[in-house]
Amino acid sequence: MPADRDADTIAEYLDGQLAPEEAVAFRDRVVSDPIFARALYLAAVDEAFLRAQARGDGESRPKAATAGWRSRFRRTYRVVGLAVLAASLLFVCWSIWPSSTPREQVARVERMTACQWADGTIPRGSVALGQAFQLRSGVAEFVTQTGVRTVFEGPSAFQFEGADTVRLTSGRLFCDVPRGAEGFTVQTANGRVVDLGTRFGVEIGPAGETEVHVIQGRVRTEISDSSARSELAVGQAGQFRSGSAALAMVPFQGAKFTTASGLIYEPFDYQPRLPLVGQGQWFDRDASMPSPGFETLRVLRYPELPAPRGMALNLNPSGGKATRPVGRPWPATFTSALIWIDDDFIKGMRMNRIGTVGLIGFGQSDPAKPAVRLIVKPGKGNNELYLGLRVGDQISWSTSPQKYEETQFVVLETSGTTARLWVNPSPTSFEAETPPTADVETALSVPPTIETLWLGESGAPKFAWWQIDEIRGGFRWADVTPRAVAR
Amino acid sequence: MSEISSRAAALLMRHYPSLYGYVYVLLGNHVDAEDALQEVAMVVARKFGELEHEDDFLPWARGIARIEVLSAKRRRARLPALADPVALQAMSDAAHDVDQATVWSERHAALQKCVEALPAESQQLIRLRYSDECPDVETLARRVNRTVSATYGLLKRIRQLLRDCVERKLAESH
Repeated sequence: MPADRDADTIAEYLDGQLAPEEAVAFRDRVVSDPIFARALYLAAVDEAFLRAQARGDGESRPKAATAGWRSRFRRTYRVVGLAVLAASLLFVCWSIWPSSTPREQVARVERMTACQWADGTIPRGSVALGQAFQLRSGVAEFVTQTGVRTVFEGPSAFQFEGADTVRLTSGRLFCDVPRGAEGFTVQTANGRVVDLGTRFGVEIGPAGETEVHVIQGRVRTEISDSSARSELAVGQAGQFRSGSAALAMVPFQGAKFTTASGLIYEPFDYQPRLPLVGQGQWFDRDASMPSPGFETLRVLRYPELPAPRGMALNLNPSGGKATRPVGRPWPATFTSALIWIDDDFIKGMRMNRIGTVGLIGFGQSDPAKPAVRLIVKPGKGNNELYLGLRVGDQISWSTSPQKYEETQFVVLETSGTTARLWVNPSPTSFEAETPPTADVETALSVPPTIETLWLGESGAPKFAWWQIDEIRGGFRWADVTPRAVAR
Repeated sequence: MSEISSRAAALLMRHYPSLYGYVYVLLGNHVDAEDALQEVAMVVARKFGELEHEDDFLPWARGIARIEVLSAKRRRARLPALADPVALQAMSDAAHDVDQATVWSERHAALQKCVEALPAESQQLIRLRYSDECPDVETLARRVNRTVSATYGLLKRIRQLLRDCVERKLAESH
C-alpha cells in the first residue's frame, strides 16, 4: 500500500490537480520507482471501477445506491457493450468474408538477419494489412506491394497500415522508394514523412522525437497538431515533435541507417564506462574474461566517410582490460573499420620483441583460433607500422607503411577462397560497384566458416591500447564504404 | 453476434477497469481515455481471432491500448505528463506486474463491499464524483454545498478508508 503522501500525490494526479512542475517530478517518480508506478496503476484501476459503477445511474439515492451498485455496474457496461457490439458487427462482416476475400496483403518478408521478435514467432511470407511487429534485435527487410523496400533495425516496433504506409512506433527504418511508388508514407507519433521519390531513413529518438535523413531525392514532413510542412533534400536531416511549429534541422547522418538486411553497423555509441559485453550483440564466451570498457578518448574520422557520432571503443587500456577477445555474430563477407593505434602500443611491441599482434579476427566459436586476422607489426621508421593478414600460418603485409597515432581505414573481405585487405583506400572508390586493387590478397586452401568477429587477440600483451570505431559489415564493397553524402 | 465476438465483448467488459485505468493514467483525462478505449474495443473485436489463449487477453488488449494511447497523444496539443516512451514503458511494466499479482474479480468485489459499507453521504459523494453529473471537483463542491478544499479533503479521506478497507478484506480472504 502506498504511503499517505504518495497516495495523495497519486490522487492529485488522477484528479488533474498537479501543477506543471509537479507533473514533471511525478513523471520522474513513475519512471524511477516501480513501486510508485504500481501504486498509481492500482489506484487508477480502482477509480475506473468506481467510475464505471457510478456512471450507470445519475440519481442521487444513497440507500438505493447501496442496493443498486451491481445493477448499475452492468448498465454502465452497456456503453462499452455498444462499442463492442458495433465493433463486433464489423468483425462479423469481416469474418464472413475471409474465404472469398482474404485480408489484404500489403507487403512480404524479403530477408532477415539475426532477428529476434518479441513474441518469439518468425514472420514469413506475406504481411497482412495492420499486421504489427516488434523486432528486438537484428535487421528485417520487407518489400511492400508497391515495391518499396523497408529495412527495420531492432529494437523497433512497426505496423504496415497499407502498401503505401508504415507506422514506426520506435526504432530505425530505411526506405528505398522506386519510381512509381512516390508518396510512400512513414507515420510516427509526431507526424508523417512523405516520400517524393527517394531513399531516406526515419528514426524515433530516445525522447520520442522523429528524425528523418534524406539519402537521395526529397521528402516532405508533416508535423501532427501543427500546420508545419517542410521539404528536405538529399544530404539534409530534420527532427520534429508533435505540435512543433517547425522542423528543426540536425546534422545529416544517412550512413547510420542499415540499407539492406545483412548489413551491419556498429558505432559503439553506448553508455561510457560500461563493458562492451551485453551491449548490442557483443558477447563473451567466458564470464570471467575481462571486457573492453568505454574509457573513450577520441573521435576517429576519415575523408568522405560519414562522421562518427561518438567516441571510439578503447581496447587494451592500461588497466589490463580487454586482454582477451570479445566477439559478436558476423554474417558478412566485407568488413570495414576505423582504427587508431597508440605509439606506446608499437613501442611496447618493439621493447618486448613481439612480432605481430592480432587486432580483428574472423572465425567460428573459438576466439583463440580465428580463420582470418587483421594483424599489426612495427615498421622500420620510428612512427611506422604495417598492417597485414594472417590466415593460419600464412602472413602477408601491406607494402606501404602507415603511421601510428593516425586514423587508419581498413576494409577486409573474407569470401570464398580469398582474403583481402585494403588499407586507407582512396575515397574515390567509395560505393563503387567493384572494389579497387587490394593491398593484401591471400589465397585460402579451404573456404573458412566465418560466423563471428572478434576484437583483440587471445594472449595479447597488456601494454598500451588501440581504438576502433564505425565497424560495418556487408556483402559488397559499396556496403562498407558509404559516403557521407550520396552523389 | 458471433461466438467469437461475444467472447471478445465479455472479456473486454471483464477487464474494462484495468484497461481504462491504464489508458487514463497515460492520457490524464477521461475524454481522451474514453475515445481511446472505443478504438481499443474496435480493434479487439476485429483482431480477437489472433489471440491464441484467452488467459493472455489483458496483456494483449493492453498492447492494443498502448498503440491507441500513442495515437491519442498525437491528436493532442498538450502532451500529458506520462506521454514519453520511457514513462509509457514504466507504466506498462507496472501494469503487467500488478496484473500478475492481482485477482481483479476479488479486488473489485472487495471494493464494492467497502463502498457499500460507507456512510450514505460518503457513498453519494463518491457516486457524484465519478458520475457524469460532476465532471470536476468544483462542480461537485457546489453540488454538495462545500468549499472545493473541503471537498478534496473529504474525497481524500474516503479514498483512504476505501484503500484500507480493500486491503483488509483481501488480507482476510487469503
